[in-house]
This record gives sequence, C-alpha cells and structure tokens, in this order.
Amino acid sequence: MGKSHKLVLIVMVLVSITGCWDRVEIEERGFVAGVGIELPEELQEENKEDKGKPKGKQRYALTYQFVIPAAVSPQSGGGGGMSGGKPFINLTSTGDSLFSITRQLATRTSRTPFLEHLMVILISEEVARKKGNFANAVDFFLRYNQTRRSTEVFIVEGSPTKALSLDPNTERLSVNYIESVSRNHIRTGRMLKPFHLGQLEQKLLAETSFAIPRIVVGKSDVKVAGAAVMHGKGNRLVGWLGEEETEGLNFLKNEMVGGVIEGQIEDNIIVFELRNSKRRIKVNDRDLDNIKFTFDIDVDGTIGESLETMDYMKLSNDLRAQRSIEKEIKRLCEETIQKLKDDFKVDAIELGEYLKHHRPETWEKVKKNWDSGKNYFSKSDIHLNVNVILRNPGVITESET
Amino acid sequence: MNSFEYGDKEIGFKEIAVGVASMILGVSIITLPRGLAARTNGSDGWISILITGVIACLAASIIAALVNRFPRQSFFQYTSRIVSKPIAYVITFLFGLYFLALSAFVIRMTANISSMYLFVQTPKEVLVLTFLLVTVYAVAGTRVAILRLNLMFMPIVLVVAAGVVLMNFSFFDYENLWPLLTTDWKDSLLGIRETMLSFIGIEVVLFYAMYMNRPKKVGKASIIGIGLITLLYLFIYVFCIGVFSNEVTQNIIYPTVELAREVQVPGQFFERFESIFFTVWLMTIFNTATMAYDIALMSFRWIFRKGKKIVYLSILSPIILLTAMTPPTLVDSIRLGTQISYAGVFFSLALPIILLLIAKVRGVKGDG
Repeated sequence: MGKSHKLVLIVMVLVSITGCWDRVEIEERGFVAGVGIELPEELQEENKEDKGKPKGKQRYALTYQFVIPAAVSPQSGGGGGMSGGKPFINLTSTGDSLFSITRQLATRTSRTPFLEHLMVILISEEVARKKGNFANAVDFFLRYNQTRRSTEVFIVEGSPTKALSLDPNTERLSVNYIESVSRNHIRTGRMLKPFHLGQLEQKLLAETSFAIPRIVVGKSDVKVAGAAVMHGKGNRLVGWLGEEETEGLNFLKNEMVGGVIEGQIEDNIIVFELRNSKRRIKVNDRDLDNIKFTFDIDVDGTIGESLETMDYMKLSNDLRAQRSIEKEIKRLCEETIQKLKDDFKVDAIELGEYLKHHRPETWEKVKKNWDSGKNYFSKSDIHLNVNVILRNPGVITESET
Repeated sequence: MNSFEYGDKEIGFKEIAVGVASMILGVSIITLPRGLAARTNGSDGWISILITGVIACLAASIIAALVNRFPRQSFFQYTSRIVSKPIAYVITFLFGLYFLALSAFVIRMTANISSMYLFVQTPKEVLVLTFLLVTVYAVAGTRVAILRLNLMFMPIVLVVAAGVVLMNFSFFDYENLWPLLTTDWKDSLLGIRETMLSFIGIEVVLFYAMYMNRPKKVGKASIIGIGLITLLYLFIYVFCIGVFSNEVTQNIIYPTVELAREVQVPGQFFERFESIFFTVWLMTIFNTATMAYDIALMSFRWIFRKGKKIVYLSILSPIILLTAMTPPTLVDSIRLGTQISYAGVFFSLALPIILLLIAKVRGVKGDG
C-alpha cells in the first residue's frame, strides 16, 4: 500500500469515528418517570395580538416527574450533598400541544426530558370527559419514538399533579409507588389489570368502548381501585365504576386473577379467597334486538376466613359455602351489568369485541349501533351461570365450637 | 492478504439457499405486517404469505430450469444465446439499473429507520454514505466472500429474530387472531400482491448459479431459502397480530421494530432489546445491499467489458448515493420501494418465464 493510500485511509477513519450527532451525555438527560395531563387552572390569554397563531381545541397542563439519579441510588450517602433530598422533581407547564410543552420545558430545566423510561401516564378526569380530547392527549406519547407501548395509563379522580407529588414512604418515587400498587391486581379484584399504552391504541382505533384503571388521590396516598368507563365513539369518559362494580367487570371480562369474596351464611360472613376464575361466553344472535349472551363463570379458591362457625369437612356445609359465594359473585356481576347496560349504556365488558372476533357477520350488522344510536348492547340479554368450587377450607376446619 | 484461502471459487448448496434467503430478507421484514394487515381481516394475512411463498417457489423452479439448461454459463452468455446479443445487452442493462436502484433503496430505508429510532440528529446523508462505504468495501472483495458472509450472518439473524418474536409471548393475546377466514378473495389477492413485493430477490439465482458446484441442485437450494423466509414472515406476522391486533398493526409504520421494543425481560439489559434487533437487522440489510450492488456491477462489467472493479465502483457509488437521497420524505421512499418491487416481480417471475419459453421454442441449449 502506497503512502498516499495510507494517508487517505487514516483521514477517512478519523472523520468517520469522531463524529456522533446523537451523543447525549447521560448526566444531561432528564429521565422522566411519570407524566400527568390535566386542564390548566386559569384561562390566561397570552398572545392576544397573534390572531393567526394556530390554536388547538384545548390547552393542556403537563406535569413531568424527573428522577434525580443521585438521590435515588442507595450509595449516595458518601459525598453528603444530595442525599436526603427528594429523589424527584415535578415540572408543570401549559400549552396547546403536549409536544410543544415538552420542548418548552427545555427552557426551564438543564436536563431535557427523556421519555424512554416513562412508566406511567396519569390523565385527569376533566381531560377524559371531553369528546376527542382524550385521544388527543395520548397522540404524542404514541407517536413519539422514545415512549414505550408498555407504559401504563390511568385516569385520575382528583389532580394528577398531586398524585405525582406524593411522598411515598415505601418507594423512592411516587411513580414507582403508583406502579407497584397497580400490580396488586393479582391480590384484589377491585382494580383492573394494568392498562398499557399499546392496548389503549388498539381501543382507540377499534372504536369499541373500554375501561381504564382509576386512581383516587387521597391526602397522603393514592388508591388504585375502580374503573373509568370510556365510550368508544369519541373516546370520552362517561362515568366511573366503583370498587365492587370493578370486581364484577373483572369477572365478566375474564380478567379476575385473584381477590376475596365475602359470602353471607345466616347472619354471618365467610371470606373466600379466589385462586382462579374462568369465563366462557355463548351467544344466541338470532334476534338482533335481543341478543342473548350466556356467561359461564367457573371459580375456584379456598376459605380465607370464616366468621360463621361451621365444619367444612361436611359436604353439606361445603355446598352451603359454595352457594353463598356463587350468590355474591352473581350479585357483583349483575350490579355491573345493570350499571353498564341501563345507566351508561356503554359496553365496557367488550362484548362487541367478542362478537367482532367470533360472530363477524352479526358484528357487521350491529357495529354502527352497538352501544350508541339503537344501542343493541343495552337491549341485549346477559345470563349468568356461576359455578364455585371450594378447594379447601384453609389450615383448620373450625376455630370455635 | 493471505490469511485464509478457500482454494476454489465455487459455492455450494448452502451458499445458494442462504444467499436467496438473505436477498429476500430486507426492508420488508419490517414493513410487511402493516401492508398485509391493512388488506386482510384478523390474522388472515398468513394465507397470503403462504400462497406467495408457493408462488415464489414456482418462480424459483422456473429460474432453476432456465439456468440448468446452461450450466456454468453467465447470465449474459445464456441470454445472448436465447434472444441474440443486442437484446441480451438491453436486458442485462435493465437488470443492472434495477439492482442499482434496489441497493439504493435498501440503503435509504436503513437510514430512514435508524434515524427514526437511533440517530435522530444525524443527517441522513451521513447515514447513507457510511452504509454505502461499508457496502462498497464488501463489493470490492471477491464475490464468493459475499456469499460466504451470508452464511455466517444467517444463523445470527434467525436466532435473534426468533428471540424478538418469542419474548413477546406474554403479550400475545389469542383473541386478536379472531375472526378467522373472513377475508374475501379480492382482499386476499390484494394481500398476495402486497406480499409478493416482499419476496423479490430470488432473481439473484440467475446470476449466482454459475458459481455453484452442483448446478442441478439450484432449484432445491433456492426453494429451501424461500421456505425459510416464508416461515419467518408467517411467524412475525402472526405475532404482530397477536400482540398488537390487526387495527394497530396497520397503523404502526415499522411493526416489527415495535415488536422488538415491546420486549420486556426482568433485568434492565433486555429492556433495550431493540438495539440488538437493529444490529442484526442491519446485518441482513447489508447482505441485501451488497448482493444487489454486486450484481449491478457484474451486469455493467459484462456490458462494457473493460475496466477494473475499482473504476466501476467509483462511478456507480455516487449514482447509488444520489438515487438513495432522491426521495425527500419517508412516504416518497416507500413509494420508490414499491415501484422497484414491481420491477422486481417482473424480473424474478415474468422474465425467466419468457426466457425459458423462448429457449424451449428455439431449442437452445448449453454446451453448444
């Protein structure tokens, strides 16, 4: 190889390995762990002179929770300095679009928002109520290349900013706290299973109604319980399901993975711990105005607590206990069905989705008027068969005689 | 350099099979699920993939029948024998242009995708140029080396692609696959057309068959390559539908990339699984771009007969760079890709049939 060749080679290598446009030092990244979206409090007219300025239908207030890595890491004690401080800061800004707000935040923080580790998105009730508003609020997060489809979405009863500024005792970040609470759906049926951004996109595109987990903000804690019922047309919030109704919804949607059910025996209570629940649906769609759904719900579990003294080794007592639990599950489901069918007239059980997948011809006929207009959903008939199996009574049979 | 000598310039059965597979596997593995989901209901797209796979196998056997008539002859030699020299010049030239454009398109799409997910600030020109330089380096070497490189990359590609898919198993929802078999035949045909564009690449056999040591096995080798890709496509498509559902799949620009981003494995390292996926995918794209460039170069050298490889490289590379940078937007580049793919369907399906028919009618055979 000649000398000139070598020189050219060296120059080319130097040029190609030095430049990196996309280098961002990790210290300069503002890791965002959580996002809160709500409506701004006061309507301030900022730029009155700019008549021609593009204007959206709605202004948003966006809160970002930034992680302060030095305060999060457990070994931060050494230098002193940061340790003991709050491990996160929240920044709120308002604007017409979420992306522009995100970029505007760069004028206020030395660390630009970096969303790749975003864990939760909290959306306020007011944002979700208005037609079309809700989908607009998540468009940015779906479109942006940093956010992940597994980010969890919640609707907040109360202020998302407040939920983000809670100082939890058990976790470092309030976002971690919210996220870990939401994973407890395996222990209680009163919350829905975590709802991912990717699932949300599916629901928004499919035009079917759905339910999103609700967060209630308290004084010093949050409660992840209940569900927000969203209408498929316009994707707006139509109302809440309470905690018991959410239990019913979990049974109906076949998403019950764990929880406790209290059954009545005489004037006392027995507590059933659910281990497994399976739902099957049968449809009779001969009459479109009265589509008949039959739900077979098979549940099994154990007795967790028995306030009524009875000997579970006796078959008759076993059956009594099973009947009482069956009755209670039926009551929970029926309450939910009644609320969805008669009050909201919105199909959050996703029966429409079921028809679409398993009875596509019927779905083609009813989809325009499924839970709006003629509302075939509220005219439909849902019949429940609950079957409980008591696997064992716990460690003992009776605690008193 | 005298590091390792193979001692022969021939390639075997495996090289052809894997070469065909690598050539087919390009940009479309990333975009196919979107186009197909838009045409079909539920998970019905798998039928289109399967049918197209069979069609591709037929095309491969036609190509094999053609090259088997003229063992160890170059494409230019046997086309000249079949349809006379002037027409062979035209066909070879068109082939050269087509492969040049294909190579440019593939390189451009690489830049598009990596600038969306990885290098947001880096100018596309730089991404295209860098990738082109690597490609040029490969093409400047021997032809057999390119084909052997395929053999080295393919197992890695398949393992990682399968990993991406399987790690999404926890997100897989069987309900999304329903309804089954509700797509009418018209939409299915459109789906086949869509998929056909993802199967171009088998025409490389027309050029590389002459290096094969057992020419009779060309057909079988290419069918195995096609089968491999059909399976991979099926796998990825069904998982896209199962994980995202049909509605979402048709709305994601690069569904397979999102599938890789969705992966979540305990332990922070695998949270960024898409980086591994990207690396591997760039390897397959590199193979496609290199082979396309190599064949373009081969065609032009047959036509002009003179000059060293390096001269052709220095003339063709700027053309590729300019072609790659011509489409201003993502939508334009995808449209360019579709046009190139239509040309590809002609070159891989229609042209071999025509050539074979003429050869049969005129009774032209090799070893004349």
